[in-house]
Formats: sequence, C-alpha cells, structure tokens
Amino acid sequence: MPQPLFILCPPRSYSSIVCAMLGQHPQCYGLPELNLFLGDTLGDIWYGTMFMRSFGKHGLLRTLAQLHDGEQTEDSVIRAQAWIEARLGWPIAKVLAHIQECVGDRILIDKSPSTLFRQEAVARVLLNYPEANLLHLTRHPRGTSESVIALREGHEGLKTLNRVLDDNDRSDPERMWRLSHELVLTMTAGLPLGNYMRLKGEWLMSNLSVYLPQICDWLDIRSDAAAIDAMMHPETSPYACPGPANAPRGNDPNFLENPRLDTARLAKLREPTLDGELSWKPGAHFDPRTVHLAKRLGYA
Amino acid sequence: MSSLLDSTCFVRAARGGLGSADAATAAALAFFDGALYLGTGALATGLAPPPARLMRLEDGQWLTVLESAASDEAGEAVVDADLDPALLVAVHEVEDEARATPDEDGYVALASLRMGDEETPALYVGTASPQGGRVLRSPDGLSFEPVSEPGFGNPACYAVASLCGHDGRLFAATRGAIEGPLLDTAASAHPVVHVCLDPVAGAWREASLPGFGDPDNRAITSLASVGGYLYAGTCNDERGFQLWRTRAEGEAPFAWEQVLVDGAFAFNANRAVAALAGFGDALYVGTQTGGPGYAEAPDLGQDAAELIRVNADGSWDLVVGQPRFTPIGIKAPMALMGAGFDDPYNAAFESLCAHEGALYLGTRHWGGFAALGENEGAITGGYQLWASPDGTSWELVLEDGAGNPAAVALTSLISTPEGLFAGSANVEPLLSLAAFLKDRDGDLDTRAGFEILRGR
Repeated sequence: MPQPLFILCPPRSYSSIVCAMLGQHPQCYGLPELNLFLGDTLGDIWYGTMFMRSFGKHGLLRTLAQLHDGEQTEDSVIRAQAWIEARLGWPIAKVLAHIQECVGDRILIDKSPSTLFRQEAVARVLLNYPEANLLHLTRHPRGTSESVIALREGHEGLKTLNRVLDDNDRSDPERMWRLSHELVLTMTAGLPLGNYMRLKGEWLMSNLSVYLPQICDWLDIRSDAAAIDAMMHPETSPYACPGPANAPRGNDPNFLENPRLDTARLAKLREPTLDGELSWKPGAHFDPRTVHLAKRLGYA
Repeated sequence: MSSLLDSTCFVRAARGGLGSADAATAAALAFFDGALYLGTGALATGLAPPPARLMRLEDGQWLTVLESAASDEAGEAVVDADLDPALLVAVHEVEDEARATPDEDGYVALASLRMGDEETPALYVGTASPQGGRVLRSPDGLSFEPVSEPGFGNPACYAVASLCGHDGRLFAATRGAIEGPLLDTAASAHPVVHVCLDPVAGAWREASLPGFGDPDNRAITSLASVGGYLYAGTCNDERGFQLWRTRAEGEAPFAWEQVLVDGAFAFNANRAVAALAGFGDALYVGTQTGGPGYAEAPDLGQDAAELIRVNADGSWDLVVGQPRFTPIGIKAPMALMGAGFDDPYNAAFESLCAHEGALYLGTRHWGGFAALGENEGAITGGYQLWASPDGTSWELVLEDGAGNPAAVALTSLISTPEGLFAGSANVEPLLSLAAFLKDRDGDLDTRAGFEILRGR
C-alpha cells in the first residue's frame, strides 16, 4: 500500500480545497478531517476532547459511512458511530489501515489542522508513519488570521467552541499561526530527503497549472492532462458538501458550502504585507517572532 | 577524467597562524608571479585583531611581504555586532593586555590581474580597516601602493572583501558597515560593485546601483567572472540572496540581469551568497544561512548551506539542498544530498575552486558550538572539504576541521601548479570561552591560529 500524504498547516491555510483537489487525482483519496492524531487509540480521541465531542468527529463518521455503506446518510452515520464504539481500543494506525484497505491502493490524504494543536499529535504522525509524505502548506499570517476571525464571526458554533476551549494560545490567530508553523519546522527537521516539502498556499492557489504537476511528480503519480483536470474539480469529492444532519461538517464550513474552484478569482490572489496594523487587534502589529518566521517561509 | 584528491593527499603547509596564534583566518589566497600569496585577518569577531599580514610561500618558507602598522592612535577595534553578548563579555575579561590597534585588520581579498595594455599582471589586495577598506596594488609582489580611497570614499565601508578580474578590468565590492564601535559584518555601508578605470591613478566608478536597486540587498558578498559574465551575489536578510550578472559592456554603471531571486526560493534560509566559482560551462553558487556560526542552537528547522549550479542560459539546478516547489518547477538535489551535505551544522559553503578537472568546496561548520549547546557528548565539528569530478556527485575529503573543532571554516581555496591550497578560519578563543562558560574547557582539544593545507 502507498504511504499516506499528510498536509500540515494551521486552520485557514487553503488546506480543505487543496486536500480535496489532490484527493480527486485518480491515484489519491482525499479525506475529510479525521483528527486521528489527537490520541493513541480510537477511544482516546473519541471521548478525549471537547473538540471531538463536537464537530471534530464528523469527518471520521462521514468517511466510515461513505466507505462502509457507499453513502453518507443519517443511518449510515449511525452505523459508523456503532462501528467506532465497538473498536475504541484500536490504535489509530489500525483505524487508518482499515480506511486504506477500504480505499485500495490510492494515496490517502489527510489534512486535519488538529494535528498541529499539540506536539504529541505531530509526534504520532512521525511515529506511526515515518515514511509518509508531509506537505507543509503555508499562508501569510495576516491572511490566515483575518480568515480565522472572519470564520469565527460567521459561524456561531465556532464562536461557542472557542469560548469553551478557553485556549489563549490558540484563540489568538497570530499566535496560533506561529506556534503551528514552528511546530512543523521543529518536528520535521532531519526527515529523509524528500519526505517533507513546503509550499506557499498563495503560490499554489494562484498558479495551479504550475504547482499541481510538481506535486504529482513529488508523489510519483500521474501528471497527465486527465489527472490534472480531475484535480481541478474538488467539488466532485464525496466530502465536498455538507453531510447528513448527524455529521454535517468534517471540513471547513466555507468549503462545504462552496467547494468549486474560482480560478479567475484565485489568479488575482495577492499576498498581504507583514507591515501595518492588525485589523483584528487595533493598534497592534505582528510580534517580531511572527515576522521572523514569516520571512523564513517566504513572506514579506 | 579527473582524479580527486583524498585525505591522504593533504599536508599542512602552515599551522598555528604562522607564528601568531591569534592570527585567526587565512582570508585570501592568490597565485602571482609563480608564488602563492596569503592574506591574513578577517572581519572582526570581537577580539582585538593582530596586524594584517601578506605572506608569500617561497621554497617552502613563508615570507612576510606586507604587514600593517599598528598604533595607539588608530582608534578602537570594531566589534562584531552579531557576537553573542555573553561571549563578548568573556572576551573582554580575558583581554588583560592592552594592544595597539592595527591600521589594517586584514588583507581579505587577493587578485592577480593584467589590466588593459599592461604587459604583466599586478597583485591586488583588498584590506579591512576600521578607517575603511581599500585596494592596494603591487607590480612585483613586494611593494604596495593604495589605488583606492578608504571605503571608496565612504570610511564606514570596512573591508574590500571581493576582488575579481573580468574582461581585463578589476571589480571590487565592500563588506562590513561600521557604526561607532560596532561592525555589521553582514552588511556593507555602500553595497555596490566598483570597477577600476585606471589602477595607477586610482580611478574607480560604480558599476551597479546600490543593492542592484533593492534596499534589502545589504551587501555584495561575492564576485566571479564565468563564461563572459561578471556575476555578483548579495546578502538579503529579508527575502534571501540574489544573484546578478552583466557583460559589463559600455559605460559603467552597467546593465545587470537578475539570475536568482529569493535565495533560489529557499527565502532567507539562503541568506547570502558565500562563494562563487566557474567549473565546466557553469557557475557554482555556495550559500550561507542566517546563522553566524557561533550559535549553540539552530534556528527553527534545519537550515544549512546549499549548492546551486547556474547554467550559461541562466537556468539553474539545485545540486545540494532542500527539495522544493518553485515557480519554475520542482527542484530536487542532483547530488541526492540535503542542505549542508545532509549535515545541519554546515552553515555556509564558504569556498569553491576548480582544480585539475575537479571542483572542491570548503564549508563553515559550527558543530563544536552545537555540541556545547547540547552539553553532552564529544566536542567535535569544524570545516569539511568536499570534492566532485563533475559538479554533481560529491565525496567528503576532510572533516571535523582536520581534527580541530576550532577550525570552523575553509575560507579560501586556490588551484596552483604546486597543488590545491586551502586556508582555514580558527575561532579557538571563542570556542574555549564558550566551553569555559559551560564548565567543559577540559573536554576541548583545539589548536589556535589558521592553517594552510596543500593537496596534491
């Protein structure tokens, strides 16, 4: 079986649409957010955090419903829930191996931002999948932060969850951006050559014809016109729409509502600047550590 | 077919700073009038430097042909602004002996060049001085006359660190910006390429715009003439180094073409160009990371130096380095080795030289300081020398500073009929103090002073 691809990035880094695009490649399978690396066993993650007791579990429920029953309905989600509860002792690698078995020899692609919530989660990725391909997807800290703020304001559930989490480190979007990317850089140092690749999301999204073939080359999969064309239609993913009422999410809500690529709009994508006041924190500017890290990642 | 030199081919042609253990760096080498010339000294590291010396190897003996004067009136030595404050304090505490400050801290660039209608080449020397670096000229290797103003008119320009002959003309660039008692070694007070119009009259003109028009290009760090082009590499903390080239046609300032941008898309992990050399039809670019080489812990991740090949048409290949996606296609290292030759402590590929059909590369390696930072294990590290028969496949020739962790870099390489010569940089006082601060001075086995290796 092929090694999986893990997309590592904080929330609001284009990861939903990137995962869905890559997942539509004939040799790949894009997953919704499984959030598997929050614990060592299925039981650990299922009852471990407020996040997973909320919509954090929707991605795994939808995946299992789709793969077991070929559809995502309230009934198939209930059966997926029962399947999970009967296997709470399974190590997370066994769960992913089961999903791989259902999918066949296609490359599984996971993009759970929760992997960067804690160092232990990244460590679980590296421990369980030392040969996996890791795509470190970046976005300008200003764009990321403004998008986080906008999403929180636009979705009542996220506002509530954020209050419940009471995690000051993560609720500050700039700090979340910095901690997440620092974690990736620290944890991926010393990996075998080629297992880790970094890509600016802005570059990818505004130049898909340039970067999608490069990603294919890296993963050693087809980069012919048919394969690239399939990737240009993330909306054809079974997870690119709201799920049934008992598992509606599993991905970025904006993506679920509008999963199509708007290539004309994306071609105009421009990177913001590190200079200037923060729109979400009047009078404040980026922390020097953020600026330092952003420059390392190619932002100005 | 080339035959690579291996470790058994090398002997020490000089050791211990040639009688001055505090002579830390063999900064520049040149072959002139049938003899090897060595310029000593370096950009400041926090220690009061000994006077710069220019030495010639003659019948196996080193002769001093030029030595800087030293005087109490010369003013305070400038101090490297990047040096770790704790080390700086310790350095000053052990400097219990007042010493006269040399007029010139280093002879840091050398070039042998026949200009215009001259019948024989002359030797040119770039100096480092708190009063501003300048260019000296010698027709015979014995007598030297200044042929430029200090700092080309700006005394804050500390050193003429790059000299390069191209199409019968001499080009120069300065390094180091003096601000009061501090020296910013990564910057230049005036980052332009200068071209000499008349070496005897000392007439120079600016051959480029400052920073090639980009204020983030803080210094021109390296020059090379390859394939009809003059190449110039920059230091850029914000976006990563840039590489420019010109045919140098017409009147200066010349038209320059940008070849590499944004640190070859590794951004400021590739902060500066550390070395340039031609080999075959291509230019090879050795890069430098953001770290000065004295740190005890790396910056985030695993930045290390890279090697890039620039082809005549301006296209480029990554030879050694971190694979990456770029706007012009995926770049994977042709040598199948990651940054630093898979060694995260190789902070710079500091010297490059073609010799008898092979390409040689000397590194700057801060493993000794990193070992102190980890506070366990043997204190090892020091420069490496690598060799390649084709520019693509590389073999390790020497490592661990040839047994001396204080020998952190091979700063100079030159091909001569007598063999390949390599000059080292030695930071024994700093490494010893760092070890003392960690209560590990008993674990150190170091030698002070630069060394010269000869391989044949």
